[in-house]
Amino acid sequence: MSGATAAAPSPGHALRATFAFAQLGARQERAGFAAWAGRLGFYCVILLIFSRLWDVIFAERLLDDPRFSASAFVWYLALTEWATLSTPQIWMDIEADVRSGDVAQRLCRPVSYVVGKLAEAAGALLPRLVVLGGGGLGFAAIVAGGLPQDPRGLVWAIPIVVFAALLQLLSFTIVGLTALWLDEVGPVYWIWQKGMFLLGGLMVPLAIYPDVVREVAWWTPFAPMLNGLGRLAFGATTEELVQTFVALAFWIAVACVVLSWQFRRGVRGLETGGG
Amino acid sequence: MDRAIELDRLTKTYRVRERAPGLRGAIRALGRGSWREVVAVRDLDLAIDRGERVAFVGPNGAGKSTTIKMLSGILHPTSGHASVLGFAPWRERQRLGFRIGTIFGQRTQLWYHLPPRDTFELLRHVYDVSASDHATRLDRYVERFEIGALLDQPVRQLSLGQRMRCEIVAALLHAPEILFLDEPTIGLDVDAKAVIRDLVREESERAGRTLLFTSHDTGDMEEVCDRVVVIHEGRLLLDESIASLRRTFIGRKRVTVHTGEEVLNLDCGVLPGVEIKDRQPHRTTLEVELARTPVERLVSALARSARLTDLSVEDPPMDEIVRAIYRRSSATGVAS
Repeated sequence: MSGATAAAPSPGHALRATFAFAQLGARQERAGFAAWAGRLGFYCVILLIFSRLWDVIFAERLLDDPRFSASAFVWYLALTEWATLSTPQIWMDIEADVRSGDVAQRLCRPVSYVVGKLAEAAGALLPRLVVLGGGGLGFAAIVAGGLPQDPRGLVWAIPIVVFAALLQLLSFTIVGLTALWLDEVGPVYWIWQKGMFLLGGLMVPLAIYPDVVREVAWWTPFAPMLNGLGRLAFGATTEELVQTFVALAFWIAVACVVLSWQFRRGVRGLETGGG
Repeated sequence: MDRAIELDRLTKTYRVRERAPGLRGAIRALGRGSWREVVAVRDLDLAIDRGERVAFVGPNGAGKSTTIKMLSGILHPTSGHASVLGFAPWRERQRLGFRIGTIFGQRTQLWYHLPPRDTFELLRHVYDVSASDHATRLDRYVERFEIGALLDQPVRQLSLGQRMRCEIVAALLHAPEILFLDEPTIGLDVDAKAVIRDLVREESERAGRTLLFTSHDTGDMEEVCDRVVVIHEGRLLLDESIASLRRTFIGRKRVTVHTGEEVLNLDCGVLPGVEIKDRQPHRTTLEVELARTPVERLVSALARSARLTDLSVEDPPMDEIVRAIYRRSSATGVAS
């Protein structure tokens, strides 16, 4: 017990501080024009290369399935990359903070380190979603030769991309916090990224995967995070939309629980073993 | 007087994993491995009153940063107790956070790509400072720290000295009652160090703010602090005022004479303990061991042997004094 009395922070302090971190993240994002241009350029180059690839594959009937078309595949990729390229690489920031010891100084503040980091990254995420959504999806419309067959999917993509990017952000935070135990976070991120490729269907829809892989993938967070978003390019049934929303909400809740437990364990380690 | 910080037999022991070299060592380390205990801070007792400016001095690995981390709540002690403004820091870190400020010389709390003004605004919300208090304090510090022109420049464009002035302002904006400074002048040039020392001292005097200042630069403790605490291998070696430290440990004086003659012609053989340290045209620096030759006797001898145009008598630099303390502790074992 302490004998100290300190004026309690005013009501809503934590919320205002969190919002201030988000504002700072957005401001920092606006300051990096070159990064904006580079990210958008990369997005467009990927779409251009894959659109040519899909054109050849469908022209040569290497993939002969009436459900799919070269144009729909371009839109699929445009949607999955929209979420992926918009999500800040928060794991690198956290790893740098842990390695440099900055995390110790941040822990002295009367606001949670991990909440501040997440809010800052979320502040950077929103303008990225807007810019990459406008620029990248506009470019996708050009290379795909028009909108998807069922353009309502693009409307549903707006809330789903926010959920999907939020889940990616939480998962990258979990990856970053492994720096509290590991010397190198890179390999953990690499494994996670392979999961996004293989089980998420980052480049191609899970619908063309073998049944068993598809079944497994839907038990992981990767499938709703990427395929759940991308398959809107083919139009989506109400049942699929509900499945995606529920799965994303479930995995976001799981990620929050894991993150909270992991952060508490990690900080306890810092408090006893130093950093 | 009201206590700001109180330490009672504070001890911190780290467990360090030991690994044999090579592949065999790496494989063994995958199992239980072997652990070694390292005592970073040992039974440290200390009391600091509000408004005191205390230099916390010691060689690398002495336990300075570990102590500061325990006092700011980042590290849990292995045993003992500490109270900072009445809080047990490791149990009430976030509440204590409103009332302390920290500056770690090799860390930054400013956002690298943004101007300092943006970080200051963020910190206003983090520390729950009202807009009017924030504006008043910022105006005062902008003027005092001369950072008006820096406020809207991205931090990456600032020099280290400019950045450090902004770091200190960032740490002061929530009006902390205690400021922990861990090597704040590291890497700065002489002019920038002098500016930082003056500002930190004046700001502490103005606000009655307690300072705990670690540094390897003894100039920092001379210019900023009134009291020095020396630790070595985690134990308290010495706790004295700067003035008393000088009296206790100064066995030598440094005498610099400017003479009409180009070369000083002094027979040091008749003055035991006197040594010429530096000789320039018209200027000579000598050191005298006071126990063997009083300084007045040396000055008389100098006056007899040359036409003196100027003379100064100084204490040796503080780092020599600190080295003497370490030497004494090595020779006699650690004092309490």
